[in-house]
Amino acid sequence: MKTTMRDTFLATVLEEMQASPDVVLLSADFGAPAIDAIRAEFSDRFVNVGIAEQNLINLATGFALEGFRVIGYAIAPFITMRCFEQIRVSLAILSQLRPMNVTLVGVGAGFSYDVSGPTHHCIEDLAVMSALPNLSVYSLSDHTQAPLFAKHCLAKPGIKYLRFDAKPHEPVCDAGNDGLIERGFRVLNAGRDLAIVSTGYMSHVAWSLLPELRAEGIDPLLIDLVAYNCVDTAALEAELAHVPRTLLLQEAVLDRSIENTLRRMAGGKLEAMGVGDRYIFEIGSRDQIHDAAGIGRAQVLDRILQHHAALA
Amino acid sequence: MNARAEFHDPATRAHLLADKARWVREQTLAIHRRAPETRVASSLSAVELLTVLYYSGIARITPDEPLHAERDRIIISKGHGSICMYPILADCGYFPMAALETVCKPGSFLGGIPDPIIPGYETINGSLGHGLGVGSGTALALRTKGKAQRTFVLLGDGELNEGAVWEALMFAAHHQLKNLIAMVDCNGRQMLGYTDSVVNLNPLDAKFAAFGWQTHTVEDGHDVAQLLAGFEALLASDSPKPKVLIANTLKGKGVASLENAPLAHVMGVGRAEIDAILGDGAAP
Repeated sequence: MKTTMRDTFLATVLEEMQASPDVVLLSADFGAPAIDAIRAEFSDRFVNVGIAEQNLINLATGFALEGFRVIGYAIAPFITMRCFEQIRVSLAILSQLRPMNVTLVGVGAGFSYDVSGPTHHCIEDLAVMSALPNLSVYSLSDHTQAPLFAKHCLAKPGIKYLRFDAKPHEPVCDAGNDGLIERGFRVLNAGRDLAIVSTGYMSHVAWSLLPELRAEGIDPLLIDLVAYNCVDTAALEAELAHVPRTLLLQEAVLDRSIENTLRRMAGGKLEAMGVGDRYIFEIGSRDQIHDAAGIGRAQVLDRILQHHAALA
Repeated sequence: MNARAEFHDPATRAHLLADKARWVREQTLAIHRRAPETRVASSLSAVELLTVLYYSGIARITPDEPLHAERDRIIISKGHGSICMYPILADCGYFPMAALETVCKPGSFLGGIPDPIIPGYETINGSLGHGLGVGSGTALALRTKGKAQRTFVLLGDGELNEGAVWEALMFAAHHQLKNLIAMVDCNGRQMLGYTDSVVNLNPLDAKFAAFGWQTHTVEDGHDVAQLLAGFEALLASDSPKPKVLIANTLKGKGVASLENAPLAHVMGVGRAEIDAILGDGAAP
């Protein structure tokens, strides 16, 4: 059946709100038919903050600090990039010190608001949100996944971003979602000629290409990646170990970092050192902060020597 | 007995609070002498405001258990200018006084800009403009839970340049967050000069009022009696509106080289001047 991610997600949120008094939903003046039922039943736990995404994030922080499990809901480019500073400071940084449970839901992945133009096309969110420590990014491919992630995100402490398509779709296929929460991806077709790792709507595209690929004698491994920056890397690596080549498909800008560029050039011979996936609160000199971050002078020397020894 | 109890007698507390504020100012300067990288001018303007808030009983604090559910939430949104919080928190019992010797030293938990590693700090505010929104969230959350605790948020006047503050102002008024009390340290200067020459905020009281807030302006934000009266007037009110105490203060209060310097925000104070103010030139 064609339906939207937000409708199946919000139906589950309504059930969770009925079961638990600590779930609140904040919307930046953005609705859905399923929201009408929530705001009718929970006038005290549904708050329309107005067209004010920056304030939405800070309000979500305040609610979360008081022990509420918070869902922030708005159009995808606005709930990620309009308020990126608030997400960084009040959620990503603060949550490292004070426990919070906040799930941001952005509707309008990629080009799903097709005719609305570049302000509504959301193609940078995966890159910018993935850059933040302490924040898990999930890019869903169909509405059957949304209820699973509603429950998962409400149960999982921390800060999460759920990326939803705006349009109603059929499920990608009948592969089911077994193991999806645990591994962060699912296998849509277990071929071995090449791998296609796709996320969001591009998983629909990849699946739709299957007949044509088979007609060309190609049986691909199709992987639907959901846990975009927090996938079970060992499990994914094991899947990809049997295929000679992998194609990544995403309705978003590709990673333009120099690390990615060098990794491509170096062909598996790159050693990269950078700041770890956490903020540094230790007080000290720049050198001491480098040590805490894992890029201290002695650490760099050790890594070089290890690398050199491994190559020798 | 915690550090505030002696300040509750109405007959003596204004005098005692003024003495305490003097001590806080001296300690703030002593910290700056040991850690010149701290921002001192904007810390000195809020000394009396924060002293009254913490010592007079206006705010309910729980130093033995900093995140106790019964505490009032205090958010120091002007993160840069709050080194004066260190002696206040230590004196109130949030952490040992000896920690004041370690500000900005390796391994210390007291940095140049406070963060919630420090007992008594609720949020992180090195980036300006977030505190009132977060405070609106805690205030609404507390009300939703039926809790009586209040949220106090200290803002700088320069910080009011940030648009997110005004989103929160509108929201708090719309939702009648009477348990939210903003305090504006109106010291008149920001990094590159006087606030009224950068983006003029005046008339600030009228702006808050027009946004639906109950206001009280303290003409001399260094007069503890005026501050006490202002807080008491606001907190005694039955109005459903959120409240704001606008305190007219002097940036760099107590340090002659800062008091009239347009760029005081980024200026330090030399050791000789602090020695002369504290009268303890031989101190380390």
